[in-house]
Amino acid sequence: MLALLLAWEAGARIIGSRLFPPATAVAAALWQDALHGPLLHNLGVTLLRVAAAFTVAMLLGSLLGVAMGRSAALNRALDSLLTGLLNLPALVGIVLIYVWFGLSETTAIAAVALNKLPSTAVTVREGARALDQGLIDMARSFRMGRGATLRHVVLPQLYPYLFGAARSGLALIWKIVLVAELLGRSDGVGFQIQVLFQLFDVTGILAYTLAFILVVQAIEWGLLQPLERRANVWR
Amino acid sequence: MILDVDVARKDAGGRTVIEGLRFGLADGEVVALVGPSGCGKTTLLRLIGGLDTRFEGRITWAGGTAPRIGTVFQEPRLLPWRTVRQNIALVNPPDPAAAKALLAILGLATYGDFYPTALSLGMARRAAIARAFAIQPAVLLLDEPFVSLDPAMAEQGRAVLTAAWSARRCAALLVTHDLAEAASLADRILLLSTGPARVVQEVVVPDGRRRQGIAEGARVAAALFP
Repeated sequence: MLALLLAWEAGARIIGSRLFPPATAVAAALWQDALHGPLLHNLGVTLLRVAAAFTVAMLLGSLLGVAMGRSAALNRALDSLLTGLLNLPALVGIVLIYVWFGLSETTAIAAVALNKLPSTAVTVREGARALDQGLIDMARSFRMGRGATLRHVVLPQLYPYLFGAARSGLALIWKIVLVAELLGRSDGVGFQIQVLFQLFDVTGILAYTLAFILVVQAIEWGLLQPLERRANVWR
Repeated sequence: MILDVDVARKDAGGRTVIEGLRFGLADGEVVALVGPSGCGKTTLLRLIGGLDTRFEGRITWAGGTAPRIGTVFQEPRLLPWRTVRQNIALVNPPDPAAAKALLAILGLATYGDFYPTALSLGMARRAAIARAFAIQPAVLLLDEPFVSLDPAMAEQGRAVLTAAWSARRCAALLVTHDLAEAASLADRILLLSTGPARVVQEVVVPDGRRRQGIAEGARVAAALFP
C-alpha cells in the first residue's frame, strides 16, 4: 500500500502533468474540500442513497431468494425473469426507470436497488436450497414455532449467503449509485464527479475517489467484518 | 394404550414402504421396532412424530391429541451455532432446572457451554437424548440412537439412557437393527419385515429393561429368537 503511494507520488512528480497529480496534492485537495467544500455533503447524500438502495435490495432480494429456493413452482415461474434482470445492463435499467417514472430520489434509489436485487435473490436462493431439512424437522418435532425456527434454525444457515450478498452488493451499489447520480441527481458524489470531469479537474476526481474508498473500507472493517465474526463464533 | 398405530399404506419414492402395519404402545412401555436398515423404520417414526402426514391409515393418541413427544433422531441434529445448553433451552416448553439435571445424568455436566462441533459423536448423541428428555415427554421416539458408535460408547449411551429413563418414566419407541440392544432396553420387541414393512413377530421380553448391559441383552435375544 505504502509502496503504491510512493510510486504514485514519484511517478506524478516526474511526469509533471496536470492530468496526473501526485498523491500529496490529492490528499491536500481532499482535506480542503472536506473543510470548506461540498465533499462531506455529497458524500453524506450518496451514503444515504447507498444505504437505502442496499436495504431495499437486500430485503426484497432475500425474500425472493428464499421463496424461490423453497418453492419449485415459484422458481419455474420467475427464473427467466430473474436471469433477464441479472443480465440487464445497469445503465439501461436506470435510464428506463428515469424515463418511465421521472427523476426523483425514489426512482434513483429504486433504479439502483433493481440492479442489486437479482444477484441477491440468486445467492440467497442457493442458501435456501441448501437448508438442512433435518434441522427443520427437529425444530418442528420440538414445537419450536415459526418465529423461533426462523431465528435459530433457518437464518443461521443463511448467514454465509447473506454476508456474501451484502459484501458483493455494497461493492456493486457504490458503483451504480454514482451512475444514477450522474444521470439524474443534482448532488452526491456522482454528480460532483461529472462537474469535475467537465472542468478536467483530475485532482478533484481523485480526491473524491479516495474519500469514497476510505468510507467503503471503514464500513467493511467497522461493520461487516465484526458482524460476520459474531455470526461465526461457533466455528 | 397411549398410542395406536394403524398404517394401511405409505408410499415414498415410488414404492410402498409400509403396508398393513399395526401395533399399540402402553403408557410407560418401551417397545423396540427391529428390522434391517431401509425397511421403513425411520419413515414410521416420522409418521408417528407428525412430521409426515401423507399416508393411508390412522395414528391415534389416547385423549385425541398427540402428547409431548421427545425425538432422538439418527443424527444428533443439534444446532451447531448454539451451545449444548442453548440447544436444550430452545425446545418447547423449556425447563432449565430439568435440563441441568439431565446434563448431569447424561455425563455432560461440564459440557453445557460447548458448541456441538467441539463434542464427540457419542457426546452429541447424549446431548440429543438430554434434549428429548428435557420437554418431559409422554413418549420418546428413538431412531437408532447409538448407531455408528464404537461398542464401548454405545454401551455407555445405553447406560445413561436407562438412568434418564428411571429418573423420568415415559413410554418409548426404540428403532434399532440390533436384537441384543432391543432385548437390553425394551419391554416388547416387534420384528418388522422388509419392503413393505409390517410386524411379522411380537415377543415380550421377560424382565424387560432389567438387563445388565448388552452382553446380557444378547443372551436374552438369543434365547428369544433361536
